[in-house]
Amino acid sequence: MNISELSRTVAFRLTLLYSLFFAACVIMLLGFVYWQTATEMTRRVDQILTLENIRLAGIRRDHLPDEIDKSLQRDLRHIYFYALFSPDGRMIAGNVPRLPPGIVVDGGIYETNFLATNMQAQPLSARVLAVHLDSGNTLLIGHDVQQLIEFGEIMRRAFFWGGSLTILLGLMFGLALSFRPLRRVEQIRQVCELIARGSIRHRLPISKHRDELDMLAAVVNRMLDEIERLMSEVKSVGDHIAHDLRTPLTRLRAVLYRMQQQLGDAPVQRAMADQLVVEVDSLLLRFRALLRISEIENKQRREGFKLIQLSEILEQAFNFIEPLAEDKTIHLSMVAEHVDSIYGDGELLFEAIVNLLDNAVKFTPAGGRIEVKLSCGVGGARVDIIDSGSGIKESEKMAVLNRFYRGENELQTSGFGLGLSIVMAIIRLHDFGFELGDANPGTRATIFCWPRSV
Amino acid sequence: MSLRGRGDGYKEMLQVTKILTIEDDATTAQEIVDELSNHGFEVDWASNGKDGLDRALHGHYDLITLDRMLPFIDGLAIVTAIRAKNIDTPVLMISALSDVDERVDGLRAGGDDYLVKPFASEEMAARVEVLLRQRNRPERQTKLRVADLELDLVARQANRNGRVLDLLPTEFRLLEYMMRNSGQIITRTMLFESVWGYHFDPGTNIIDVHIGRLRRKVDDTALLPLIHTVRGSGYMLSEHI
Repeated sequence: MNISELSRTVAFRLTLLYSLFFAACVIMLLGFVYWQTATEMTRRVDQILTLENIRLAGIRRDHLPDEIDKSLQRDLRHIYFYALFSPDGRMIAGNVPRLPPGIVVDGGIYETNFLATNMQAQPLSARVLAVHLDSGNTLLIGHDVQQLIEFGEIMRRAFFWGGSLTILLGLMFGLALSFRPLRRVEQIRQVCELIARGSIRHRLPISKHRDELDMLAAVVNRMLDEIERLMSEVKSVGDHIAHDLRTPLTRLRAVLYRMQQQLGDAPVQRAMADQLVVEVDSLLLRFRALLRISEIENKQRREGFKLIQLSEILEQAFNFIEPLAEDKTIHLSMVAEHVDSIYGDGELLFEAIVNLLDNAVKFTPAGGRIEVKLSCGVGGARVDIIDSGSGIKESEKMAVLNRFYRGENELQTSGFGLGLSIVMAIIRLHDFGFELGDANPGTRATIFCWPRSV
Repeated sequence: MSLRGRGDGYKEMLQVTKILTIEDDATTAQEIVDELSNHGFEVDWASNGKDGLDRALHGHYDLITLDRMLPFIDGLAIVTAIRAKNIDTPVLMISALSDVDERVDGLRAGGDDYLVKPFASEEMAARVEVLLRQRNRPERQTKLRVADLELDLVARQANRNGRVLDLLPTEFRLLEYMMRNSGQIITRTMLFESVWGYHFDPGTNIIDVHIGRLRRKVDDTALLPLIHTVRGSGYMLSEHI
């Protein structure tokens, strides 16, 4: 379970979406508060400026510089600006050295930055009102708006941190929320994989929370119950048929054999009887092979499993099949690395390897080569059986592992097409891997002797 | 065709061998009885487990063929009961249950051999012959001899007509099994089970190939052939044909 998996869950996505939406709401709310506050503050500053203008307009012109000085002295907080400029732009009184640019002298209120005499270091933001006096001078009244700007600054920080924190918390909350469902999904996935591999007896876990996953799991479990019931029904029908066939087949074989024994000197009939016995025997052989496959497939227990040395089994199989290869002048060779002993059923693995070798001998023309290799693979021992035969077409690879399938070029060789199915049943019982590949030319059959689930 | 008694001395010839067949299917039972009668045995048939157990305990038989699944008392219980009474009559179990575990259960309970249905009559008869033979065999043999073929079990050496045969371990075991059961028909399945110790159908003609190899070493062209092919059934090692 990693971050990318976590971030794909519905819970995570929903939480993230909610937190983004929430962050946007917070920003909008703060923005609205700021806008309202700023508007109100500006309105009050403007009101003050208008009132101050009216007050100064009522003062006699020659007292104006004195009044400005007094006003500045009263302003302990240094938030007012006054200035009286002569028509040539020189400051007669006040604390603003020159008329700031961008100010239209028309009694309107403008916002601007300028350097005040009492605060030379940095330009100040202020709302400013300027009017022409009838004496030709210009009167400027200003009010500091630093507070407003600082307030805006605070709001912007609040926007940033508030938004980021909301999103961050949302992310964390989303991850935390998706952890549990994802763990459940992981459990379900593991169980499903077991089921897909054939252990139909497993069921999906159901928690006590009765959430939507539990509802789904319950439905799937009911479905699995039904599938298992159907499968066992089909199997028991199959087993019954097979079982019921055993006795008639035994009888058939016995009566034919008796007939063959009692025919005496009737060459034509004898030949026919011989032919019949041969046919029935091949029927019995196929029948036994089919029963064998279902026997192996039905094996749930692994009682016969113990630690075994693959090299010993391979050597036995090699010695067993070697005369067959020699008869067909096929060169059979074996290379065995040292590998750890594996856990399995030696008898069944011998059967599987003999089947594979037998197949290899069948498909390799006289004078060819078959190599048996035991080596260390990624997860444990691997067995390769490489022949120099005609190989298997890519399109046929899956089919040859099925019951009764015989390759096109197999028509002239004997065999019942069940050998590889038996091999597959044995491999599945062990939970090993199996692969048919190209050996250019020829076929490479590989058994990977480690659990597929790892 | 009676194969009984070759090289066995007269004792067995004079004494009729009695076999009990416990089998609930009448046709199968009939076939077993017919086939074994053909081999010169006297065969009694019990059609259910109760009857079968009763006869097995009191009938003094030389061999019992026993079906695994029977009415009233099943085959496993019968063989267990017989062995509990210290009756060591050889038992050939015949069963539709072919699983290796079932075979192990059958043999563990006291069965001497295990034959899976559907079976061929010759196979069954051959196994019966071998089981009867085993019973009369002296315990410790160090040398086996058939005609001029000699097998030294201690030195693990075979020689024919005074010449040492160069045998592989498998070939030695094959020859040993065939010589221990000389004069008997031995099927391919029996060879595979006893020489290689596996219980599945090895398919193809691989046992034949092994026998062919052994035959080339044992039966030199100049000598009397000892290994014979019994058509449709298997092999026999014998100095008579």
